[in-house]
Amino acid sequence: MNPTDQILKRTYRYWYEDGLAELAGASIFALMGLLFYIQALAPHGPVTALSALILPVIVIAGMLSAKRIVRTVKERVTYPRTGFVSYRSASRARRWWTAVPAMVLASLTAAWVLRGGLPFNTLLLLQGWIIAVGFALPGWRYGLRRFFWLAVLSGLAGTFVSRSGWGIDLSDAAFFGALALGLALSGGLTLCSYLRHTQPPAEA
Amino acid sequence: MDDGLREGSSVLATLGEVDRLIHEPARLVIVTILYTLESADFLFLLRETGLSKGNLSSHLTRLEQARYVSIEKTFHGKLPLTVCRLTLVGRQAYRAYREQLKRAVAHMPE
Repeated sequence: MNPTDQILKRTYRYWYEDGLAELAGASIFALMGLLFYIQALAPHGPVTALSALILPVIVIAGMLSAKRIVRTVKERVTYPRTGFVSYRSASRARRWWTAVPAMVLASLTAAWVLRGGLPFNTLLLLQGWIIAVGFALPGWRYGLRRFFWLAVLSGLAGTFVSRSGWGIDLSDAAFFGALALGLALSGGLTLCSYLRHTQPPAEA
Repeated sequence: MDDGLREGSSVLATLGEVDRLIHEPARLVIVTILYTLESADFLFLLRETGLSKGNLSSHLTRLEQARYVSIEKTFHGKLPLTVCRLTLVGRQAYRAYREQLKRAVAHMPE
């Protein structure tokens, strides 16, 4: 790898250095797991009736607030120890390159499901491996080895629940619960290691 | 002028074009980091470059004098920060340096 690439990877990897992003991700997955668990317990309850509304709210509001919360915690924990950075926002072209394939993939999957062409256990399997790719990509781009383990966890958890015969809600609850646990473990260990190995610089 | 002499002076001219302010290894690392970011503070650059405080400070001053970098002393919440960012001139200089270096390296023998 050339030195410039190394500098770029290190700079981008800094966002994940304290494990806070994974802990925020763990909270979102835990809430999703909890929602599916409540649906599995009470299939005809009010939560199930409103789940089509609650799930997008958890995902969208979770992602928006997670970034803000992570930044606030970083201001107290990370920046005083190892420095402050502000990342450039992605260019419009790059945003489109990310958003368009994601929207096409989501629409195709939704259309397939609505036509009854995709059994739910296949959907669970696909979900596991698509999220695995989502973990593996930053792992590969920024040289984050622990993200490959999270990708393996997602793929294996997806495969396992797709063959479990537990029904879609309980399977989803178990899948997102496993991801939340994996992310919390990974983020927690990373944060502990970061705090152990870094100190705020002594005043001159 | 014979062909050998002409080629030699053209290689020298290409190498001479390279921006020496950025070409210095420590400053190249600083500029490359800042090129990928919106801004970074002194502490982050200190850690990433591995330079001493004095060294980093003197390189940043040279880049600031060339108007490649702007330095701002500010607060982020209660945290005092010395925030550095690459200016538009600095970004253009980095892009030009990259092209100059590519041209210079393209003619090197295998």
